[in-house]
Amino acid sequence: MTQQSGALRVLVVDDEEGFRDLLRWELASAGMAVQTATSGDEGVDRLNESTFDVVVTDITMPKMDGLKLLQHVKETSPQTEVIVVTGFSAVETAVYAMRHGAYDFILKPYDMNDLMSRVKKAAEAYSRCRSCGRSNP
Amino acid sequence: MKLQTRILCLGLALAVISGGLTLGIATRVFDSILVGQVIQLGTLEASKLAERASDGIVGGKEAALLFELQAAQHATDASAAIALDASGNVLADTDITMKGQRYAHAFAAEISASSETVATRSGTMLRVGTPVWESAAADLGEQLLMAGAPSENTKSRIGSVVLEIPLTKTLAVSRRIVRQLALIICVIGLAAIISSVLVVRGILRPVSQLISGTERIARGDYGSQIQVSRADEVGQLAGAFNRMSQVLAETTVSKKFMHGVFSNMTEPLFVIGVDGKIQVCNEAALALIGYDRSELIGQPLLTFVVPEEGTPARDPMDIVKNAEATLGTKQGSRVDVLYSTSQLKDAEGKSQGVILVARDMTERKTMETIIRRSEKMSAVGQLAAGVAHEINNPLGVILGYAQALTRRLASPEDPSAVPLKSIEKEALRCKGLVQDLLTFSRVSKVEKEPSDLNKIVTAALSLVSAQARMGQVTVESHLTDGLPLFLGNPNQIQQIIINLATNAIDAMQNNGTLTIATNLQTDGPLTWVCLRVRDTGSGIPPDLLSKIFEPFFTTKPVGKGTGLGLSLVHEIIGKHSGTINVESRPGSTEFTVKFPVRFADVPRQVAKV
Repeated sequence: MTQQSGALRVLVVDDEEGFRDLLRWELASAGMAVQTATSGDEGVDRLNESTFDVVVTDITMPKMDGLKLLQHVKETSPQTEVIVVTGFSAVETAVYAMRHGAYDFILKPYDMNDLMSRVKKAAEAYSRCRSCGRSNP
Repeated sequence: MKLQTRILCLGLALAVISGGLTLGIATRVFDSILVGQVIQLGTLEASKLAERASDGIVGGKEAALLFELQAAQHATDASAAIALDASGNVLADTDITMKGQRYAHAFAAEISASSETVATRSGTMLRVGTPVWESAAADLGEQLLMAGAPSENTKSRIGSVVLEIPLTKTLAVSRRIVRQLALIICVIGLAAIISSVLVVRGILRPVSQLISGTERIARGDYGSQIQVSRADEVGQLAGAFNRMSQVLAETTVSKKFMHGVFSNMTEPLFVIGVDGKIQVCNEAALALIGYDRSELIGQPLLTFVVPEEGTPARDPMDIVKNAEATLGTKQGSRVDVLYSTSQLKDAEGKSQGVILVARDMTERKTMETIIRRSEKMSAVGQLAAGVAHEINNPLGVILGYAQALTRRLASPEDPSAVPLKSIEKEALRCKGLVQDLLTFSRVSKVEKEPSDLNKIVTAALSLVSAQARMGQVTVESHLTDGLPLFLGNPNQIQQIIINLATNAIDAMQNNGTLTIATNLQTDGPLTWVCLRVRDTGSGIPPDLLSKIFEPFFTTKPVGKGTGLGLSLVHEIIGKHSGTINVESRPGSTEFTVKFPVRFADVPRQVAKV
């Protein structure tokens, strides 16, 4: 669809092993290049190592939480889109994240079909941004 | 008329009548005595004069006659003394102008001495006339002394003498005496009246004290004493009265007093005769079951007892302590009571029936239900907060894999299709439960804002209508315009409406009608905005009605409901200081939710829904 060169690069950050594995398995089967991190700090490390099109991060995590990670992403790699995942009904937090540059939010427990479509939309946005922002300097 | 006045009037009348009579009689007696004396004197003097004047009359010697006449006038204090000849001509008169005139009076011809009183212009006058007879000088005086009456010795009448004596002075004396007598009588009478009044008063004062004492006793003020310090019969009567009053106070309790105690008791009381019929009941009893006294008295108590299912009604004549019973009220409702009975015995110890004192347990039962429910709620809240959070993530993973795998199935006939779909379905059910539990634990953390109930209802209706169409249910809404704003959380109020409406739609078969209405209700100083949700479903059985708000209570098939919907509604309403009531019968179930309008001056602005 909108993939340019190679697979879409996605970073999944979640302290819950189950979700991490689920997302990796699902996104990878959709042909995306998925990396995972178990915390915000680890997520920062991955981001330093390579570039990602989309970051899917849980908000509630020990040490560095998803909101701080969002802030880091927007400072270091503004074109990378971030989808925040939050516990049930924490709408206020989600709204906060949206105001601070998140592309979208998903409430746990999420519907896989819903998640897939949101990630794909984020990827589209990323590619649009890159094509308009970098291919025509 | 008061006794005192009557005695006074009677005494006064008696005094006036007896005084008047006495004075009248006294006047006559005095008059006759005094006038009689004058007559005696006049007659004597006239006789003397007749004796001395006979020579003069015979000789017609005026000068001699005048001398005698003047002497007689002087002696009798007469106004005139007259000597007449036999034919009645005046021979001599102290009033010399009368000489030679004819004395036109019967005396002129009288042959015996006589007297009369005549009224003249100058007052009452006594006239005494005596005939003068020609007789031998030797026995002349004797004859004349025989009161001038004619006798055998008398010869012939030669004339007469007349004395005119005024009685004015005499009568004046009489009047003076009578006047003094009247004065004395009046003084005595007055003294008598005053003393009798005093005596009567002395007698009557204790009587009036007795009267007021008796009135006090009549009012039930037993033991009331009167102060009479007298040794006579009245004093004895007062003493007897005081003793009676004291005895009454020690032995009797006034019916009025008892009635006051009875009527003002807070607890319902029945007196039941040996025949099981109500003999007496108090105001609290009437208020408890709503009947008039006339509808209760004489009726068997059992008429008003609702028999408990499966157990025969207890005989109200049994002596029990803190037994439970249910009474039916006139309005058709039931009231739970705790009651105790005791024997009512007469003076001989014979049973007259029982006294039954009941206590209304409705309020306590309601309180118990509320406390039990809120305890359950808080337990559920804590459980929800703790467990639901932990379940949420693993559940999300399970659901995620199930959905991902289902999507990957090559065909619907794949052998894995059924188990995978089943995993997804059950996981979704768990998700619903977890979401309800989490909502529950988050109810207390809401922020309220001035909200418009109609706006919230309108927003909720769009969601409800979609659901209703699927259940072939008609939705009607009756919203009252101009409702005041109330403090609420629009999302949670919307949740209430959706939960109530979902239940209503589930309860109705096809062609049911769901009615959602709002209105304003004023209840004394309080104002409420009301939400009514009514369905035409099968109704809630009465025995389940008390349980519907309890967490995990559901009548829906397994997998259809978590039993948290109404409990959540209840919790949200509680956090809004509102109330919820339900009335249900087959064909109509109505939930009424009320939210207080706390601030009359909340600006009528449109709330953000």
